[in-house]
Amino acid sequence: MKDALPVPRELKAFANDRQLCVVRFSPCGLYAAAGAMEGTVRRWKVEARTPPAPVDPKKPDKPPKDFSPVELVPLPHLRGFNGWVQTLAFHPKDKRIFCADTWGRLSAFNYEAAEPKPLWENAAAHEGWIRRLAISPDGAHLATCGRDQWVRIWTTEGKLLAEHRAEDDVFAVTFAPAGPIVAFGDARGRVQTWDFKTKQKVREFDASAFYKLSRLQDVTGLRTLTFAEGGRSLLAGGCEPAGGGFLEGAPLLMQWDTTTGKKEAEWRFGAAKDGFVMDVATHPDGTLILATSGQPGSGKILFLRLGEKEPYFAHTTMANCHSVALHPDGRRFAVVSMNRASAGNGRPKTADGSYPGNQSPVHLFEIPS
Amino acid sequence: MQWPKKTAAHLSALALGAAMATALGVPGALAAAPLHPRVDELVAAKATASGQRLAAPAADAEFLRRAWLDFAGTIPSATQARQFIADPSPTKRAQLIGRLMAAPTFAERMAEVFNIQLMERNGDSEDWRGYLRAAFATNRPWDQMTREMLSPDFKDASLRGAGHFITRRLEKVGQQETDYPGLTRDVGRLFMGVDLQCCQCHRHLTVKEYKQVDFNGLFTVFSNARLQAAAGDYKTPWVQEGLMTNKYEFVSVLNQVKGSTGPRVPLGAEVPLPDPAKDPLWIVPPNTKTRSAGVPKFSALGELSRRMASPENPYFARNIANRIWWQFMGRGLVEPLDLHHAENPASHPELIDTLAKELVAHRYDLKWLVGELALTQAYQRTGVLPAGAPAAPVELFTAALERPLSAEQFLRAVLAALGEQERIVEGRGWEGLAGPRHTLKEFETTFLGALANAPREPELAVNPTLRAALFLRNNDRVQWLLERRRGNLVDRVASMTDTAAMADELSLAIFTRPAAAEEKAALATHLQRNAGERERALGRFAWAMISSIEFFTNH
Amino acid sequence: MNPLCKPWEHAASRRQFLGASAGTLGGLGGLLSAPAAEALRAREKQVLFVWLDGGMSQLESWDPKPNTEFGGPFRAIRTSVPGTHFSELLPQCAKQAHRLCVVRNVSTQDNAHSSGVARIQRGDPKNRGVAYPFFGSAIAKLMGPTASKLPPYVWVKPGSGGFKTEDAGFLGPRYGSLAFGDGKAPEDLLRHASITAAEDVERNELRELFNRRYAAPRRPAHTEASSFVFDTALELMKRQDMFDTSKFPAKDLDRYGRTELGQHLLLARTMLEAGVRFVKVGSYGWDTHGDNFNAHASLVPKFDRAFAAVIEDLAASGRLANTLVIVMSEFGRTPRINGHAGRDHWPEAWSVAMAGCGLNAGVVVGSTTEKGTEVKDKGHDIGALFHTWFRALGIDSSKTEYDNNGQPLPLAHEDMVAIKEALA
Repeated sequence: MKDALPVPRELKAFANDRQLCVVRFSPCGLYAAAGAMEGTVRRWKVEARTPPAPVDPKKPDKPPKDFSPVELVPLPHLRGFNGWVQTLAFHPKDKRIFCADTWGRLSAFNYEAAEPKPLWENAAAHEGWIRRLAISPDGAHLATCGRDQWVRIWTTEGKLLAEHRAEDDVFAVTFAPAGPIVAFGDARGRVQTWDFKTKQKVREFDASAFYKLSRLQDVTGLRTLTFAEGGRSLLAGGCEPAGGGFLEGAPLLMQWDTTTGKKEAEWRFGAAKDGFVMDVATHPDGTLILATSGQPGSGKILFLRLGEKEPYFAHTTMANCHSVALHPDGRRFAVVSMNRASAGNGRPKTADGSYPGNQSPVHLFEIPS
Repeated sequence: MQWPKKTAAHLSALALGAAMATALGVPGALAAAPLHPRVDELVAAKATASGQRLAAPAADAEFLRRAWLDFAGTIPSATQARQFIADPSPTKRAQLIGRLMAAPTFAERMAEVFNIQLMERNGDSEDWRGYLRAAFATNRPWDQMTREMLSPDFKDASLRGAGHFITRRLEKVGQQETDYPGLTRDVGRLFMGVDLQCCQCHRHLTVKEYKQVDFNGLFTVFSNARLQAAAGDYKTPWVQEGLMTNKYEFVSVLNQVKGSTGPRVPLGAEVPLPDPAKDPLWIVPPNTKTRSAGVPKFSALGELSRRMASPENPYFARNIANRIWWQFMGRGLVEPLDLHHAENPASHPELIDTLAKELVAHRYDLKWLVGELALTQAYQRTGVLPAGAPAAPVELFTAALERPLSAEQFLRAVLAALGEQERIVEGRGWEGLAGPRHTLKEFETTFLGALANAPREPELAVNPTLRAALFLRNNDRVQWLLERRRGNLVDRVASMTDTAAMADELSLAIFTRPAAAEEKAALATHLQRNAGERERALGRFAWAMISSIEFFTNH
Repeated sequence: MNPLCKPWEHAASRRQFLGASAGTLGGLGGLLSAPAAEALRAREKQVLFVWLDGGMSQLESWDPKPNTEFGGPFRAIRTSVPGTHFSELLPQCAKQAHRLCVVRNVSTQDNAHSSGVARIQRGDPKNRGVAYPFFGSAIAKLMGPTASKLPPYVWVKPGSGGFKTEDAGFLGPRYGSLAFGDGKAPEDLLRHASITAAEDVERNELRELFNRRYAAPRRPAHTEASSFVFDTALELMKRQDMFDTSKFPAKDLDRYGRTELGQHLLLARTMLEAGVRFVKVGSYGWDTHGDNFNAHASLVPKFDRAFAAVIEDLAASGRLANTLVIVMSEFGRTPRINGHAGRDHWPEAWSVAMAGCGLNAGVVVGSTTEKGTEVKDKGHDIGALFHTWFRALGIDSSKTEYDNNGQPLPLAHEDMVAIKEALA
């Protein structure tokens, strides 16, 4: 087995004035974007910095305290959305970004544009909340899924190609590395692969561990689906719910063989307070970088290699990690977390009586080479 | 029925007094001056002054059932009822009382009465029950018992059970804070007859005498006690007192006036606190190494209980005299029981004074007081109202008042009446019977669940509930008792032929009285109509009797 | 016997002092002829009280603030009342908005469940050191059973059933509730298998015979009370089929939703039709400190469907005019969204929805600020809601008082008054 990736170090945290749902890097590596819990997409230029002259001449390798070799420089927001923007995806080859909101809008923008206007948009791509948007590796197709129980396949020009009505609210969708195949999973932990050319189900995967009926509440633990090992296996991340309301449960990752549908492995990361695997990024060397969010304020970044029992690295000092994105250079990643003391803090006012919302910093990490 | 001639009554009382004195080891001089004639004089005087007639003496059967329930906690058998009714002796009632009070079941019954009154169904403990039984078996004076309950010696195996009164109330329930105010209130209510709850935050709005300082003087004592888990010398949870050198400060929420107090018997004097400059503070000083909290020299619980259970505190004797009166007469001389104050006078002020004074003179001897009350005409009167007159106000005690049966009494009475006592209580007589073998524990759980009040809800009145009605109508255990089974009531009666005799047997077994003519007729009709299934019909007839209000109350 | 006056109130016990001096409520029945009594029965006022334990979010229900900082992901939708919008999670209730009266400026004191649940359901009166009755117990005391003789206060809830006395406070345990745990009849409700209905009637007649004979020369109070509870028991037993959700029509089961709350609200409707004075329906699990939006996306539509169905049915049968319907929690949820996408406890500004008896229909009372963080005016505390409910049921809570052992106690917080805009 190859050597494990080195332990990452945090470069810098970039503050925001809103809570964010998701962060991604553009394939060119020069831009980053994040969907917010408001009708905007936050954009940054990713800029390299050279270290200034050392502060202490005796220690020439030690840069000043607040120096980061990479900066996120804010650009004007992408606008025109309602509710929240919970999902977005960059085109793998051209300069487009696709974003979807919780009111059913799907839009495409040029992510480099200084004052961006939508290239195209569909205000009623779904009835209500679009939970996940994925783009095929070849850049030909978009997939969306939503609370309206639909899974839809689009051209990147916004033309509907195929659709499938699931049995429940659909929480996650992702493209297989090759072929006209998507995987999607619904509120009750029913995951399947689906051929959008033949419009046939390919295989079912039992993800019912992600679901629990707690009193009146259908508690959905499923958050993310990812193909791994070149499509040989499928991963589902989320939570094994212990109960609704407060919502406690252990972060859970499951792995199935895509050709047989057989479960190959499952991981539980921590106790009931540790919550959800919210997002998964796959390093080119196969290492999974997982972001988890739980109660109260618990959040982790985990490095896990498939085939191993436990993550070999856990970063535990950030609160509620909601999303993780790997830079295309494989050396940096960004994490959406939460401001300090944002756990169960809904009620207090500040000393001056104001009532500010919570905020999500974006933390930038470096994996040393 | 007439009361015995006065001389006879006195003679019988004297005879009983002597008999009881011998049985109890009470000095003859005390027993020689009976209280009960004085009680009856005062009750009669008040009734006359109110223009009310007194009801007749209870019939033998009525008295018999009442006395058994009160002093033995159950009802007599049909045979015992027949014997008592047939007994021509003019002193048979006094003899019965003497016999029942001398039996070990009397202490059991008193322990039960005090468990229900003092714990109000809020948790039980074997040690606690054992303590009460032992205390009543040796006729321990009430002031001593009070001190043992309010300042418990948790290291003494024979006394630690008394601490349950406090420790149970200090247990935390769920996320609630330790209920120190609740314990404070209960001590005032149950040992002094004063409900000070309203005075926690301000003076009492309707009772002038109850002041905020009265609540807080008690509160500071109990809030200084910490519940500790059983460990080492302590075999049960126990309370540890903290060092108390400062007065407790409080503010009225009504007018923001501040006050302070040290420990204090409500409506009494404040206990001086030790002076840290002069007095040694510790018996065992705290030890930081062993993390032991130390034993303060000044025990607020000790000081308080000593002063509360004392002739200096008039509320103490009046409260227990009133509660004993309530227990046997069905209504307190002061009502509510926990609202003694000047503007809420007793129905018979001289009577409560007399009872309290005599109780102190008899060194808080509850058995003596109970024995005297049992001999009164007031206790032995019928519950049937004098014909032709509208019902007199209940507080005149012109006729016997109906009283609730505790769930325990009800269960024992129903097992005795239906002839299943031996099987359920003693575990005998199961040989050759099909079906499950029921246990007493199981019956107790079921009957208490259906018939006892909710925790902390005093059981003060006859209380027919929907829960009890559904229970009697449909519960499997109740139904089981009514099936014919070797030697039980239905079995006994089913083997008889004469319906009048059958009705009498049922009635004597269940109601402790012979059947009335219309009841005999009803049974005859009932059996005729159900000729094909006599046993089951008898079971239904017996059900109607045990489900009736006559069986449900102590009347 | 006067159906509005319970026999045990004549009992010579401590409890006789615990009554309300609600003289206006008694004294009618005995004077009425049979048809008039029937008419009175038809007009009898009832209450359906839906309790969403833990706290439903006002922002994901009655008071949406779409596209604001704390507004969450959901849309607001039009309702049957022009200009009034509900959250998109309430599509069915939106169609019933013309029958509802929504108070959006509820502002209460307590943000803890342990104390808040009781404080709210007791109406949070001034602290006089006594435990006030929950609303259901208060109505059981003030209005008693209907002519149906069914227990006046029934609680349909998840979990355990039985006789729940703790709601009654100082009124005493008989004003507690009879709880149908998990919608099932309480213990001992079903007639014993070994007894036929005819035998049951027969033995009960014998019991009455013994009671009559015993009571004739005595004070009647205990015997009457005993007969009353045995009669009530029988009324309940007679209706045991009616309380069996498995026998409800499939169409109704579907309309209300085959969920716990759906079936419990359907049971509640049946109980109201059978004549229960006050039905409380409890639903647990609304304390969405984590993942609030997915939780509400699952919870609210289930409530929506069931609640809209019961409103529709009560309106269709004409019962709504005499049935006060209330839905509420112990508080709302915080506008600020916490780090785990949850909402916490927020008594400052939240909503209560009501309908029916004595209330204006199709109105929204009060409003909150743009972000939903505060009520716009002074707002209404729970005491004002209690006054409103009492008034809607024809009880003048400014004049009527409880009498607790000689301590006069107001029915509701005396510094508060009914919400004028809500009352018809």
